[in-house]
Amino acid sequence: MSFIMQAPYPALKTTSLLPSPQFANTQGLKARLKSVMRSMNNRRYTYVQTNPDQTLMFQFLMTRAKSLEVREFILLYFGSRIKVTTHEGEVWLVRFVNDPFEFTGERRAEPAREMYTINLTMRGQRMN
Amino acid sequence: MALRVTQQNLEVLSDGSGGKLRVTQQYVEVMGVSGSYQTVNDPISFSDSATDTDVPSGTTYNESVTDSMSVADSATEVVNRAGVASNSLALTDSAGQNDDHAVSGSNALGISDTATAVGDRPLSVSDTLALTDMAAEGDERIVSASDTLDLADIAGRHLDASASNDLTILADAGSAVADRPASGASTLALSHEADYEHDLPEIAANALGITDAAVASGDRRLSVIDAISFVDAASLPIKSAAAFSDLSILTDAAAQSGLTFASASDALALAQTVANGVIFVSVSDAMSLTHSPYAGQNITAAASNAIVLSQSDAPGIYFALGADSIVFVQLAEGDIAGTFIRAVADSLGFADAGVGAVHDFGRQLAHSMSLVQAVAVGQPKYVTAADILSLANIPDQHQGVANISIADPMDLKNVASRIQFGTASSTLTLTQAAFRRFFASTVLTLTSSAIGQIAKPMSDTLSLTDTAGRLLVFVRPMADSLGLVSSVTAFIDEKGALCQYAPYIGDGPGAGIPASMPTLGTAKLTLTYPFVAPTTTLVLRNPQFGNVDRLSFDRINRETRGGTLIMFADLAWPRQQTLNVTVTALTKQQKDNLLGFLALSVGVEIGLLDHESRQWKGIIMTPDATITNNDRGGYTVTFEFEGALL
Repeated sequence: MSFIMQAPYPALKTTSLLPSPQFANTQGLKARLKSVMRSMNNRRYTYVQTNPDQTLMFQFLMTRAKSLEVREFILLYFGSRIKVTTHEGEVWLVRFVNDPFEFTGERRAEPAREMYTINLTMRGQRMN
Repeated sequence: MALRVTQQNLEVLSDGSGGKLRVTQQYVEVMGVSGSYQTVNDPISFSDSATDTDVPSGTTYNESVTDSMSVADSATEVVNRAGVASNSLALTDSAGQNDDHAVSGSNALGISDTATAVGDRPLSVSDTLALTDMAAEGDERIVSASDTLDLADIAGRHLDASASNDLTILADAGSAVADRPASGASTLALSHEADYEHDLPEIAANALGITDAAVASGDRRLSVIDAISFVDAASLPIKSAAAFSDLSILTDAAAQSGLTFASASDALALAQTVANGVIFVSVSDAMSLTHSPYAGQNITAAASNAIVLSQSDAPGIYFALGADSIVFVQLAEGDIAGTFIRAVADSLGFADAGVGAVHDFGRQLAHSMSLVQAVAVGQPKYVTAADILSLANIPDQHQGVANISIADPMDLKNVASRIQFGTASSTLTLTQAAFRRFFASTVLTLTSSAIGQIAKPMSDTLSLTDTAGRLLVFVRPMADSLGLVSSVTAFIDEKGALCQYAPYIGDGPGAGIPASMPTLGTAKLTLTYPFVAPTTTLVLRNPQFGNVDRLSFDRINRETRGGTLIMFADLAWPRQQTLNVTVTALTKQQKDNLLGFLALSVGVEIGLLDHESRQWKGIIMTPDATITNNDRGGYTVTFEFEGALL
């Protein structure tokens, strides 16, 4: 299934289809445990910082042409909200939090000339 | 006539000094012939004349002669046993003139006839005054005859019993003496008055019955006129128990008989007043009238009916025009003094409705009501004066009739006046409703006035409060634009789009990414210095895989307490595009040339043509890059170039 990125949210105008990300994609909460305290009777007191957002990190291996498309997508919508439909069908409303965005030439490919990889780190909330 | 002595009295007194007597009083009664009484006659004759002698020159001519003669004749008896006392007075009064230049002659005869009894035991007193006034009868050459008889007959008394006054007058003019009377006129003027001079009268009744008829007999009559005017007044002196004035049973009819008559008119004019004195026990003034004109035709061109208090119209089959007006004035006056009257109430109950059935379109029904209600109190003290006027004016409408206009004006004038206030209230309640109006307008006119007869400083305040609530608005320049955008996007999830430059660009606000992929070629990595009009060119090998195309942006990230990421980035802010290039297998000469180029172009924009034949303009960010000779094959260098694609 394709990895779909649509921007800008909510007035979606541009849609970019990416291949499924490479393995080792990550997903994590933004909630944090600020501190843990223990009393004299060994009772723990925790102070947390909740956050509805989650952080997603995907690595994509794509052709040169697709990398140029993603490059143009990022140049235009790096500060906008993006609607992402993952390869698993999850719909997320995220923002790119990469700094910087690095397109790395990996290898030669035919007829695509070369293959580039990019890591996209996103933060947002799941819509469905 | 022989006289004889009937009685002789002699009074002799003694002087008390020795037997001498003297006659002190002697009384002799002399009576007449037996069987007859002596009468006392007291004839008196007067002759009085007044003449005027004119002086031919130097003296004003006297145009009038006045002759007044006063005669007083009385016959009394001084004895206790009076038989009869009679008094006859014959007067002859004539006024004549011997002068040939006489202008006029007047004759005034005043008669005062009084019969009084002054004795201790009066039996009866009768006073008969018989007058005969006759003018010029028996002469066949009489053109006109007028006879005026003025009578004043007054029966007064000073004791409580009864006083009656009967006055019978027969005035007849134009009797059938002459065969051809030119005109006959009979004028009867009556003044009938019953009053009391006593301070405490019990009853004063005044009944006046009049029958006035003018009848003309004969074969040829020109006109018959019968006019009757009647004034009935019951007046009260300063103090009276009751005054009742009843004007009723008055029938005035004008009827015409005969085969042909031009018109029949019936005018009934009444004026009824109740005059009151200073102190009232009760005052009533009731007037009941019924006045209706009746026209006996089936079709009337116009019918009008003006009436006070009661009015009804009996129309014919069709009305061309109908008018209904009613005027009503009711006034209650009361003088409040002492303990008799505490309050004066003037309540006006009035209902006026205009009802009409409109059979055709375009007719108009007008219903106007005009009311004036006033309560006036003329005394300096009173308890309360209330003037309440309650009105409900609702025009009735008939359903199913279109195109009619209904006018419902209501003019009200409510006046409450007084002199000294205990409490005074003037309440005006209006209820006005309009139904089924094509055009509705409501006008309310209020008039407030305070009227005082004998007033201390008074005030009349008509306060109307009309409040229009308004929020004070401060105008601040502000703009609130509602931005609405519409966008549409569509895509086809196909595998071919995953490896190609194939963005799906819909429609919406803002710019979009280039629809077509930039053109990529094949070239060697070439550095030129300067960018404009390069003088030094360095050609290197293409970079190794692992070259990085880095994009960096300036963005502001903030996180709220709730964990929401707020990101702001302006598209005008700078964007850094950096190429990280690693070049291997450089020869020694290439290494030296690179070092020379780096030394030459430190911090200066150069041109870079990458292996995809894309031209860049920028600077080398790492001029101190280390060039490594890591094997026998050559040198390796890694540097970064920051610039922009051209």
